[in-house]
Amino acid sequence: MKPFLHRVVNSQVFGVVATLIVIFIVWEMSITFLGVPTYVLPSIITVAEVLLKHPGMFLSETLVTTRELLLGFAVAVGLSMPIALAMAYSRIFEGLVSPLIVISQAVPKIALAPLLLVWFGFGEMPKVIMAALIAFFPMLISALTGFKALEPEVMSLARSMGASQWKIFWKIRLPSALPNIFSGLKLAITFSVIGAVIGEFLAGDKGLGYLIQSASGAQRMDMLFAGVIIISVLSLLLYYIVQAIERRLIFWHQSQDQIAL
Amino acid sequence: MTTGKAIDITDVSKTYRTGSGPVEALRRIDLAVAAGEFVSIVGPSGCGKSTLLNMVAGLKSKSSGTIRIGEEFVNGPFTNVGIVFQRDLLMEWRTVLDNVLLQIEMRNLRKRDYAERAMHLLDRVHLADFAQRYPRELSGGMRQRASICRALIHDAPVMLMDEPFGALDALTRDDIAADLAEICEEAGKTTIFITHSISEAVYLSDRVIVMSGRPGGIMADISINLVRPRRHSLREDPRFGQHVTEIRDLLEADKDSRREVQ
Repeated sequence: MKPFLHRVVNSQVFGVVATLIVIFIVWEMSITFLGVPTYVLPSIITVAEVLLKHPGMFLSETLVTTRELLLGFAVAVGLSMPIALAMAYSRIFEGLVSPLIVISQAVPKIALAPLLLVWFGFGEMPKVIMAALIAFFPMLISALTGFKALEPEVMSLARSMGASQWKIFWKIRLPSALPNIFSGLKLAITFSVIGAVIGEFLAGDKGLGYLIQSASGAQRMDMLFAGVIIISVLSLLLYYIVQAIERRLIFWHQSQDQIAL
Repeated sequence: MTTGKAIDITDVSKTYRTGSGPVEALRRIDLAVAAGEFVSIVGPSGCGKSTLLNMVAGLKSKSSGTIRIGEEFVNGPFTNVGIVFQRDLLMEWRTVLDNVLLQIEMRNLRKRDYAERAMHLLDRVHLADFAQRYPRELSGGMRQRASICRALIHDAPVMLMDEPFGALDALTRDDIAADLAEICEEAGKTTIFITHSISEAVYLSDRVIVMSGRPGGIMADISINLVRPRRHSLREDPRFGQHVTEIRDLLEADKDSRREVQ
């Protein structure tokens, strides 16, 4: 019994659940004992009721947002990886591109949102682009750090083996970049959620961001909180999926020794 | 073979260009190593002994002179060698066995043909039980043993070792040195071995090359005519101690002369 209990207490799921329970207790207590009005903070029970009353509606909005953010994530990863590779292999390319990237990072992406509406309309496209824009930079920097992480001695060793550049890439450079690439992927997936939701705030009539926005307009605090909770759960779930893949692929890395976040 | 020389270094110099003018690292090195000979190079830090080894491997360019391994001139990365660096440079995502076989994969040879030899080598350095383990499960000494196997697996005639035991504690060093002495005696490799440890150099070598401080040059070439196979007990032999003292005195004298100049 004891080792089982021990395992439960140490597990990641337990930590998350315990934290949530504490938050919910404080939440309910502040309504009951501090007299916080329900138009400021709805009871967790009414939020749960709303969630249970309209499961189909919440599910379809969630699917819309998920689709946008996954497309944005794919675009961000698909663009940043080859650019990071080219930067790692070519000093000239790196010199040309890195000022552009730093400048583009200095522009607040959210300020670009109205422009995206003008250029790409009110459909799915501007949301995907917003998600991609926000996820791109952390992914690029992480991948670049990873690809450049090879020590000169390892290159010497590989050259003394007469290895081709191609072999060095697949057998040494790519695997040694994986820990950094996965840090980037974990950032990028959560940033994509933010990007997609911001996109939905601004225009359109679908998705969890739109749901929150219209709930706020209609003073439906229970609906608003339901939206926030779903987005948080979605974000957490996607993060854990990436982390699960990471654990399988880079079990050999020291970062996998302890329970990571 | 037109000569018995497996490695022939002729009149090799190295000058680095720096912001504050050229720095002479190595001055006119001549060194010939016979086939099957084990030659150690000792010298003060910064005497260019590592640079020399890297030039023999073709990993660093030389400013002048020629280097020949067998019948081939070295002008670029030389691949018919096994190299061991100070750091083991094992790939963390590969098992110990696969780390040894990396050498084979990189050379486009067939892994199947070398698996048995790899296991034999791992057994020679007492790592057979760890073949399927990952490097992070191994101690520093075990990791370096694995990297020695990686340098031996393709059976190149020449071994180049750049302070391979520099990062290990004294006891581990002596153990690995004993294993290395055995393996080299058996395999008859031509070896250049860079070290900071005078006793290690005497223990392992047929000849010890003593280098002077910057600009690096060869100060003495000492033949070590001690019995082989070499065993731990050799360290108690008075002649072993004499060689160690002789080399230490040479290095001390060089250090003193340098101080006087300053």
